Amino acid sequence: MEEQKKNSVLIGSIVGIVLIIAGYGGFKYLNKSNAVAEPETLVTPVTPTPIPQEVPVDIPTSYLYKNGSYSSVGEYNSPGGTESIKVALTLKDDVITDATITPLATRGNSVKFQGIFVSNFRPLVIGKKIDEVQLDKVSGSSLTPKGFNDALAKIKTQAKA
Amino acid sequence: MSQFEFQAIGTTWKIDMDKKLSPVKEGSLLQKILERISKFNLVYSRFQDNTLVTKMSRKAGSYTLPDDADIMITLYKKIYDVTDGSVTPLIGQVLVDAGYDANYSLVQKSLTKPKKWEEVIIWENPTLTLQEPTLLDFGAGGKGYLVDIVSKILESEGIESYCVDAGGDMRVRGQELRVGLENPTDTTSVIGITNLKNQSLCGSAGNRRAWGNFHHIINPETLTSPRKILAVWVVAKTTILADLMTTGLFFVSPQTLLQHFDFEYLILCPDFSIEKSKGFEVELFT
Repeated sequence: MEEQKKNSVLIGSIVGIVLIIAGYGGFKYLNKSNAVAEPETLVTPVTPTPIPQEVPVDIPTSYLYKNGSYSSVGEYNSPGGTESIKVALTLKDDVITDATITPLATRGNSVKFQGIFVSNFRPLVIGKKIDEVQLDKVSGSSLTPKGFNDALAKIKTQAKA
Repeated sequence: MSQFEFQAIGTTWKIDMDKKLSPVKEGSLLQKILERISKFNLVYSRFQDNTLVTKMSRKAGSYTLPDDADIMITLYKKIYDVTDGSVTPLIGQVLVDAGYDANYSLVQKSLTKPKKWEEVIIWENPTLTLQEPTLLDFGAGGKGYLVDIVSKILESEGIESYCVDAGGDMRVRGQELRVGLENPTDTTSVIGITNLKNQSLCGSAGNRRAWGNFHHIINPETLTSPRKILAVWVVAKTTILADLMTTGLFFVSPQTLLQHFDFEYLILCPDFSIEKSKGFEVELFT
């Protein structure tokens, strides 16, 4: 439950995070142009309007949010003018199961900062069993030198004795 | 199609070619590949007693290296500079003292920081001068480079569509492969799938070749193994570059490396979050 609560707080704050990052972008921009204004005063978040893409049918009363996919465009004022960024989320049982950020910036610095944000936006992975997916190859560390594994096994045995 | 599978440099090699070669051709090609790998090993391996690298660890002086050395040493010097000395061939003795030696003793002795490149190595192709006896380690890029070298043999034989896979580090040309990114904590599962075409992919994880407090990568400054990354994958045009970048990412930010090298990356952090470049195309299992 604790985990679910955490995640549900996340959906409310994710657009806020985007705006904070965008604000940071504005701050960096200002620094470069030697402006003296406080960066905070320049960032005016516009309340985003959520657009539900799917109308969920079953609504479990124990959950705070309806299952489904949602997307929202957040707008903010950059030193160059209004910019926006799109956030799409999939919710299941109050847990965000998928999230995509689409940069919509139009100006040079905003494009750059949104790009940095998008490449650092980190989804959490769970993984899938290899026999559940069709693969040609697997890349990782499983093919460790045999001698190494043998040596390690030996040491483990010794350590137990 | 023709296929080779063999063991070399401590790992399993799988070579797939779209073409079906005649049995005679298959035989001669495989022999050529094995001889080339052996030749490479006899120069650069620190796990054999009779190699050039082992000789260099016993006696200072000038050594003439083969034609393939320049590409590798030049790239090593570049990543050495970019990572402020973190990725270094001078790490050889540290790895040995930590226990990652020719016998895999995995018993730690006391460790001493390696010297700086400039203090020890002078590289004037094809002459490598060591100011003092030094055990060099080409583990960060050597395997990747050998994958490239073997691929060039295939290409010189007119084989254009192939995959050369050395223990999960691979180079693909002319065909598209679906490659699973292995979950380092559960090797029966994958965290995602990437499609590979006309590129190389290398992966590195700190969990398998691990003993005591170490894994196969050791920071020359702190003499500890980096822990902020669970696994990393890099896609690049060549396998040597992909291989070196996986090690580089254990030490410096992707942005630092991207200022000097062209590659795509995916980092799996210990909390199973993902950090990746935009161009790393992957289907993640979230």
